[in-house]
Amino acid sequence: MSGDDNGELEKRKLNPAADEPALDASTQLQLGRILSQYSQDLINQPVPDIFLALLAKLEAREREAP
Amino acid sequence: MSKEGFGGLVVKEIPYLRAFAIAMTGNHASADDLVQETLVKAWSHHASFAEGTNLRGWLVTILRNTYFTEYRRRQREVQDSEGTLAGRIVIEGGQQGKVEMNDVQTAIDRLPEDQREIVLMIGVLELSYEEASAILKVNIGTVKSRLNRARARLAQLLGLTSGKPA
Repeated sequence: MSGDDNGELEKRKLNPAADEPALDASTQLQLGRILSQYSQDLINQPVPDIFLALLAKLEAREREAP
Repeated sequence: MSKEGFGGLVVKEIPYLRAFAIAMTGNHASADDLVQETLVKAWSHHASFAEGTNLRGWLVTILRNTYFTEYRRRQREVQDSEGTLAGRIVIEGGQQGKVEMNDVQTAIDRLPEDQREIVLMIGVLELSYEEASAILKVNIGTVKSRLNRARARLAQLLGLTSGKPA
């Protein structure tokens, strides 16, 4: 372990609120999995056609009046 | 960048913008309105996007401005007439895990707005602490401590830790 690593460790000890998780490791892991699943479910939802239609409209307007 | 190229890049960000807006507002219809407004503004301000910088961060900055200046006031009016929006969301293709996705949204709805926002910026939008710090105009230490508080509160709300939510 290098001196820099020790320095970083000391800094974290001095300022736990900024760097250290407030939760124990297993809760942290569990919460991470739940949030990741939640995020993926949201992101993977099909995008309604209205959005592509809107972009197409904006692009068409651009071509008519550049 | 040509607007054609710009449009192509923006399309790829729509799922992320929608996810963020849905989680932030707890309401699909409102979220879709918010994202549409964001796209229209992004399009008209396209020239101010600096190529090579993070498009998602730029779009989210527009979305947040729209949310805070125009949308949140309207949402409150809707809530006043229809009751709370919390818990109404349905996530398609939800999992049959120990924690239902509805419960996750309900827990996220209960976070203070600044904590909800940081959880979603890091977790859903996959922004770096640095990007979140620049968008929120707070220092990185604040991003980290706010995120830690949000995660601790979520863990309590989801029953992962003993003790009552603060």
